[in-house]
Amino acid sequence: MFRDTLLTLLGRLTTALGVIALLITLVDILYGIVTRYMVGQAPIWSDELARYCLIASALLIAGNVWVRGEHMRVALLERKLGATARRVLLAYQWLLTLALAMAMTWWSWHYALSVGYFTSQGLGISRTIPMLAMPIGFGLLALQVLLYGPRPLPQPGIDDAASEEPAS
Amino acid sequence: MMVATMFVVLLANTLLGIPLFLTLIVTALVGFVFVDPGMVARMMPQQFFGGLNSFSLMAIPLFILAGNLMNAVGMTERLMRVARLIVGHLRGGIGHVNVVGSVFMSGVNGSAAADASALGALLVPAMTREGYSTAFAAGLTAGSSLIGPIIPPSIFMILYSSQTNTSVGQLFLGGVVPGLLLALAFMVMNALHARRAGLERRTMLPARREVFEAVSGALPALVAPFIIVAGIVLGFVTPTESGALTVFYVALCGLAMGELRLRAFWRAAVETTRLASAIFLIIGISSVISWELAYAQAPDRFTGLLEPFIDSPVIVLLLLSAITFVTGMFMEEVSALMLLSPVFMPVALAAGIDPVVLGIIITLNITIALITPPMGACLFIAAAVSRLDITVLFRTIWPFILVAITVLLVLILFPGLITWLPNTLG
Repeated sequence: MFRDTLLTLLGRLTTALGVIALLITLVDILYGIVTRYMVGQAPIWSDELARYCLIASALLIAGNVWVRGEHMRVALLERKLGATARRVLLAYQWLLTLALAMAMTWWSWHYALSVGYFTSQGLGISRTIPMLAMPIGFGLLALQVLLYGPRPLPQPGIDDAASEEPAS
Repeated sequence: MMVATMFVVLLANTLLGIPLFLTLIVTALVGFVFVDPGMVARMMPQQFFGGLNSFSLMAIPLFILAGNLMNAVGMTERLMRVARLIVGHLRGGIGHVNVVGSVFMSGVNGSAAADASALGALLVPAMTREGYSTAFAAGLTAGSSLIGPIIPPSIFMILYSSQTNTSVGQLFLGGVVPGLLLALAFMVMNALHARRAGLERRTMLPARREVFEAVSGALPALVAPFIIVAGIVLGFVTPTESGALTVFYVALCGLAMGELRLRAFWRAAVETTRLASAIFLIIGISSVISWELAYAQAPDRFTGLLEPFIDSPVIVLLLLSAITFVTGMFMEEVSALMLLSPVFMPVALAAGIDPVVLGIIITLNITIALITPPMGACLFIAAAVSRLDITVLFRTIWPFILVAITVLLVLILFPGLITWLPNTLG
């Protein structure tokens, strides 16, 4: 289906970007250690770059983590409910998630723009740039929630176990 | 009123299966109704970003990556081989291997969930083959996974440190003895169970050559925790830098052993990024709620409530433990730690409790919550990897919880067990 293909593509893209941001952080911190011991001082931007990259990484991938059902949650109730009640619960989960993701996108977008006059201490860039990770991350989450629809989320580990006969 | 309403909203949405970070957003919105609804558009993103914008928090994904890489390059199997050779010949040896394996793994990993999933998948089938019930094997796997966040490095301790400005190095050192005590307690429990269940003991002791080969093969992994802690305690590196160096070290060892493949490295990084995202979103939103609680002067009011007990640190610690334990039963651990630490700190300082002692006690409490029904994450993981119905584990986990609580009480009564190492080496 088109929306599943789109979700997969979005997932791959955001995951790749998130991992690259994590690896940049790793290299940056290692570079900071080397320069501190070789030159006597780590570059002023090193600490800030690491922080901004990791925050961006966490937010960019948040939508894909939601689609994979990997955000921490307790799913006991939805497994115990009957079909109709379960549908209602899934609709509530979906609508609430979508509303919150959109609200966070809106608030953080306006907040990111409002701090554009300030520059960061280390990198010397407008503070809007790192802050944009929030509206982009929550916006991507909203988009993926919208595409996914009110379907049950996967339950990693539990689903695998449930497919086999439980022991006692 | 504000805190009670927020707690009810949090609990209700958690039980309805909403992902925790979204449940926390709803809770924060309810908090803004009490604080000042007009502040939500500005304070929500500001506090969210501010909560994440901390260099010490960067250590968390790096230590997770180090643990994932350790699995990817086969270091975990090497550690398990050493554990098997050291304690595998004892009665109930495979159960002891589970506990000792957790001690070894915790030296690099720092996450109970990773410990439970890695060791559970490996050892529960082996334990059932050797005569253990699946319920006991899963319970011991869940129980021994608690050692992960207590023995350094520890994600929970890094979070506590970021909230209270306590030295991570001191906290790491303070966790060593409690972690080993926990391991000892579970080994005693396993030994008693093995005797009662009439499990056979292996008479064959491992050959010295075999032990030497296993230890030398696992040496890079065995020395890693010492490098991590020493680097931080001696002031050579910060915890975040130590995390990056550990990743570099494990990758280097993997290359030297010819076990590191690019695909495996990428997979480890992907898993790390996903888990870090889940944790970071909770940290970010918890920071918003922490700000609301501070704005509403909740920590001061809480200190006032405990005023009558302030002269007795033991009673204060028992009360704080009880609150943490109950909160942890119904709330995800990272957010519970983020919200409770700043509220507890003023009380602890007023009662003359060492911040390191408070940190270890809270960490242990939060960790015990990982195996406490109805929401203990490690419980679900242990049940999943054991192919065991979760409700069975809900009934059979209590002896393991009792053992952990006993260790907690010993530490509260004798806080010197926590402070001895930081005072000696710090």
